[in-house]
Amino acid sequence: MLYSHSHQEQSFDYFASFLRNVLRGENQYKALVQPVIDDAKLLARQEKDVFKIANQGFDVIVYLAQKDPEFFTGLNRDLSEKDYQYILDLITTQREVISA
Amino acid sequence: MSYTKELLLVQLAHAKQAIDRARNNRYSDTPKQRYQERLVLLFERVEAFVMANPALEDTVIYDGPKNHLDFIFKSLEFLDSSTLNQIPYEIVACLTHAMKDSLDPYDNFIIVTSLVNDVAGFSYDRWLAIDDDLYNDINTKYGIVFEHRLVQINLPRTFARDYFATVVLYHELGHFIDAKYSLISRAHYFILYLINEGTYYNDPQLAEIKSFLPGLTSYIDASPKPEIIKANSENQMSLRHLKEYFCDLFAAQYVDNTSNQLLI
Repeated sequence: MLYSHSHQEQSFDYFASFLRNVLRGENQYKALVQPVIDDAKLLARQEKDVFKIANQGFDVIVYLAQKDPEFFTGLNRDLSEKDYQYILDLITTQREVISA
Repeated sequence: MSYTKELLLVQLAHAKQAIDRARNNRYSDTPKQRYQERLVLLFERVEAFVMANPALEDTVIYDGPKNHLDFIFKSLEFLDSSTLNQIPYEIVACLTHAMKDSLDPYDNFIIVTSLVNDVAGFSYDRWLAIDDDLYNDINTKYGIVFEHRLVQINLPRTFARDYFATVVLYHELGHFIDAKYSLISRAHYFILYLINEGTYYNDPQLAEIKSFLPGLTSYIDASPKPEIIKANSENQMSLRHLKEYFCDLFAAQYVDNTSNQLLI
């Protein structure tokens, strides 16, 4: 199991943990991941810029919007389990980005 | 029982001891007292959760109870050094005054200190102050709301009562303000974006940016440009450089030339 060594890693770890909880069926965690996903979508669509997106989850939002802008641009409000899993996979691969 | 679960039970026992010791702590203000009461409640909920679930998977342990016990330990580490007898009142009063200028509302934050033996041991620990994720998680899982956040500042024991000699703490407070609003992360991202987009190539500002942020030179000169989100060593160095620069400017508002006088 990986530990967080920086604030950036910590943000990613929390977000990944919330996504895993959603995938385990703990639906109350959807409310915690949704604002980040919404802002990633708005940033990918260029409807918000980096000065307007939320402070909470800032690094995660920027990362997601840049990593797969096409996916986030076309994302609907109602996310499927497959969507959550895909976002979790994106977050998991950020480990190599941070430690590069 | 898994190794991780056994370690969790050991950590739970240590947390119980730490909580019991902290019951004797006396603070100068009610927010710290209330914060500690919440910690006790959180410990009871975590303990109940762990005992009710004998077969917890490793990922569940790391996503939940281990993280929450770490939070309890970290909070107590600073609360134990901020009791009625130990807290450096003058320093905390000065920093709180400075914090009011940049935070609205400011009274959700409690400055706590931990005294270290290193005479150069000034630092700021952001773990408990910035991330709402942790508090949202605790609220979602256990229904416990922490109304206050601890702003954790480490300072040398030698200077604990000498508030004229601790001007460097304003720099550390600057790190908290920066982190609270992601000020420099946003600005840094924007600079990289403009460089990648080519906006800055014929701009005299680029030379100025290079002079202020030498760490960015290889990034600026690279072709093709690295991805902005790729945290390579060059842009991480320039990000840290920019953050330190901001904190020096932040501190300068309050300390003026005092830091130089300290060196005389």
